[in-house]
Amino acid sequence: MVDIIGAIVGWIGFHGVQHWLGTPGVLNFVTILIVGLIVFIVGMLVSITLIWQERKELGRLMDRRGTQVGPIGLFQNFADALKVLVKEHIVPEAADSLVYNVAPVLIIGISLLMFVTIPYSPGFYMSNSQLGVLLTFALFGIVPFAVLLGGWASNNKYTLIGGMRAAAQTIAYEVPLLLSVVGVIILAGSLNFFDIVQWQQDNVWLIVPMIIGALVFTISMIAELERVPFDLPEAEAELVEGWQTEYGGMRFGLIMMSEYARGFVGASLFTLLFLGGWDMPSFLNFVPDGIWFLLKMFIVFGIIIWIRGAMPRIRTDQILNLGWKRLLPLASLNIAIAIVFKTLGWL
Amino acid sequence: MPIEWDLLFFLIIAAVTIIAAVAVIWSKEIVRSVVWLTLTFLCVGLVYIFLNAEYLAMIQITIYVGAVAVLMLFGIMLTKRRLLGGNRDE
Repeated sequence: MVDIIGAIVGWIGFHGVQHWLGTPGVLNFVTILIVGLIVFIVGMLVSITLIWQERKELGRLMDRRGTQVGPIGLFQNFADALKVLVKEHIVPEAADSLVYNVAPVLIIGISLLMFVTIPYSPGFYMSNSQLGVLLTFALFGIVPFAVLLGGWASNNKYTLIGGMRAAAQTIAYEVPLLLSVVGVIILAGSLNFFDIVQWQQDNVWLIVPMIIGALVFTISMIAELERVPFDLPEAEAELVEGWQTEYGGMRFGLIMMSEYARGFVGASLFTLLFLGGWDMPSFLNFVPDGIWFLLKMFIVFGIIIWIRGAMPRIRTDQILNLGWKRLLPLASLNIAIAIVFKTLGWL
Repeated sequence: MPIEWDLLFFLIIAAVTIIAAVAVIWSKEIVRSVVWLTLTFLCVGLVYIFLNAEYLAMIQITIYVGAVAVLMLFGIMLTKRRLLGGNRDE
């Protein structure tokens, strides 16, 4: 392919362009673009599969069929995307039009940016930063801010209440979420995803010593993803559609999509931090690493869907009680256990 | 003449920081002020990356955008009587 382009450019006679295209800087830039595109497409496809998995599994839990279009309902999401794509984009008259339009861009952009930090296997990743874990949580922290802005800018009672609930929820779960990861970081001694997975390959999956941390992490992550039982910001029985009531058309579709993109990142985080990432039993080595990672990720997300099917929604005061009186002491206990293991040299 | 890309991007980000910082006191709507303030925080975090202090940049974004800005907005919205502007009833 590259040879053909080179031949065409040479035939036309742009020798200057030909030399410029061959310089290391241009090659490096094009390589990064292509890798970014691949990671983006793979992440989007996995997210769409997660939507399909959720609708099918919820249908099974509620004793109905779920999606119908295509073989085993696989094309339903594409049909829905096509439907929201042709809708009109409406800005409410009393809305703050600048902030109203900026908030979904911020949410969707941040959600898709998080694909960059997740490694699928030792050979399939976008970035290998020494601070990968921290970067993911920094990006997660921006989302509630954008939710609050979008809810305020729509200038509607229900959206504002939804945004306020998102902020109240953030105050409740953000601290236990970060503290539950500290135990993993203490034991593995690194903030790099590859080092953490390598440590688990050498020793033991971190869910075994850090079972309390894994529990706290799961509950806080469900709250972070704004899913039932913690979907207070879009409690559709009380608040119409919560903070996204006024958004229509493709913006609504992409906001829903970005929720599943964040769901993918959250389930991947649990897999990488507690379930050993692409680690596998040695007699099953013929299955590729990436398949193992995705398999574990789908199982983790399946459990999250199961929780959604089984639990009623929690109240605002209850989530604050849960976050500060239950999860925070448990996360602190988890850190104490990690420190004991590390100082006694057991792991 | 070769362009110093680091310097160029630093100048752009510094300019955005200063403009956003001025816009904080310039805008009439207090929620918009917080939005500009958050942009200032983000750009300061980016400047830390130019100083090879990536850890500080991450912590800056986590604390200031994730916690401080949300708390400010939360406080404003809890105490404000009208949602937006002044010419609209409750």
